[in-house]
Amino acid sequence: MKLEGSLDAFSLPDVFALLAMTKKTGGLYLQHEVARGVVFFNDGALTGGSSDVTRQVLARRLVAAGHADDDALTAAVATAKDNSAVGVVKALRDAAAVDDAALQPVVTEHLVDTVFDLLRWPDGTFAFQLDEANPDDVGVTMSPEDAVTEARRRLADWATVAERVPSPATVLSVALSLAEDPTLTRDEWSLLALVDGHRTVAEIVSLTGRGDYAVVSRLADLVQRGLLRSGEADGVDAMLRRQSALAALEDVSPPPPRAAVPVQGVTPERPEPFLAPRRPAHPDGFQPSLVGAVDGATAMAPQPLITDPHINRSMLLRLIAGVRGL
Amino acid sequence: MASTRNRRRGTGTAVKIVVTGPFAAGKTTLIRTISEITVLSTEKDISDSSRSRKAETTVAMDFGRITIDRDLVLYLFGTPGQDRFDFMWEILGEGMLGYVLLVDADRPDSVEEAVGILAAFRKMAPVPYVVALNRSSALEPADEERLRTALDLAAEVPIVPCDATDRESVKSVLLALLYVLLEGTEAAGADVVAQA
Repeated sequence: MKLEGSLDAFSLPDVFALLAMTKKTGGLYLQHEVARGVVFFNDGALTGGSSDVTRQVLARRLVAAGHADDDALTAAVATAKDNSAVGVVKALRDAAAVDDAALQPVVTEHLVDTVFDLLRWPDGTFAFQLDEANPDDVGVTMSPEDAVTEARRRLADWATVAERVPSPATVLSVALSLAEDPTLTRDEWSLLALVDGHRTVAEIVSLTGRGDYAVVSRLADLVQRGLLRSGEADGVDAMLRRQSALAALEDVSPPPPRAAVPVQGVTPERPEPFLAPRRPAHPDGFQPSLVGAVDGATAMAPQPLITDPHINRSMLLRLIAGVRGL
Repeated sequence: MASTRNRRRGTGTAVKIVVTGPFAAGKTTLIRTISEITVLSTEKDISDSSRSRKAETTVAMDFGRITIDRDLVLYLFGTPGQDRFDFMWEILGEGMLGYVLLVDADRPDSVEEAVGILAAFRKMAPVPYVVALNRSSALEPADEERLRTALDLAAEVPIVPCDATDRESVKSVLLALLYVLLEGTEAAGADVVAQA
């Protein structure tokens, strides 16, 4: 089935709504300039994906969370290399190197981060490949509506975060003196330990294996509390050049989208301004969730997007007025 | 339920209307005429005898959107017209508020095809619907009677002459369906229309 288009014409939430409502299974490939992402669906529910298909983002997240030892990881990487249908994370799970209880929150957070990243793309193209399986499908699913809602909540916070940490190239340093004794959580301490006055925020994000939002928002909070200081790094161009060289090694070149715009031979560069301009999908950040009638005798499977029978007179009058006014 | 969740989150609501009908009745055109976004057609070249009527057909669906206000949006789904894609009907019809059965007034075989589609939709989801007669500016009483008999339509099911290329005409079709839904609400004397 051919399903492709431009994010200018169809916002990501619109495409998600379409795939969810029609219970599609497959991979939604997205491209913005040299950046490539993918989101996998199974019967209309999200099962995984990445906003940067050149990297093992989910596997890095698991590793950073301490869920895989050296032997298990080496074996999983070998499995994934031998069999393109199996990803590193799925190989870890199949080998019982990581259990489902540990996977659930990590995969869910990764899904939201993926959608959060993709929503920040100002434009791009998409192409849906029907029935393409997620190589890292570990049985965790999330409704697209829930993922978009949470990603939008994070986007709303992001403006404040970006005021304090304006760019991935920002270098943070620990404040030499404080107005009062600091109080830190263990999570904050683990981030503070990575701040050395040389590492960029992008490098700290990469080291933690967690997403932009989780790390940068906490760093921004530490800046706001006076524990960290921010300043633009010197030699940003040199740093970006070095990152590009590293990214070339990391590009394991998964199959590119078989449709949409062909990928140019350019090394992906991850950094971009945090506050990428974004055209809202709907006026005022509208977030759709389907309501309507469901015939209980014919409904095939639970589908959270389309189960609300609460259509009342007031809503119908609004619909009538809206259609009249077109 | 989703509505509870929506209110809690302060997010919007979407409703779904399906446009169905025989092959080449004008479903894709109707949605394109009224949708505020570029309709997502999944069309391919026709390789069989249907080519004489149309160069491409909708394989999976059309998808259109009408934003009513900041927290209410209407999605339009067009079904594929050919029988071999009828597996999509149930998927697209699930959760719909109601549907439009579009028939081509210029083609007698369009009505014949519509009989089977309507039977399938009635069985699949007993929700309100209207019949839209494309390429028709008016409907003679005798023609209406023939159409009602052929489709076995109840008197309360509206038949709306329309031109799928004309925005005002398409609006009248959608309004006819919305009024049927509204009447259903008032007749039931309840707040809830759905699950008809």
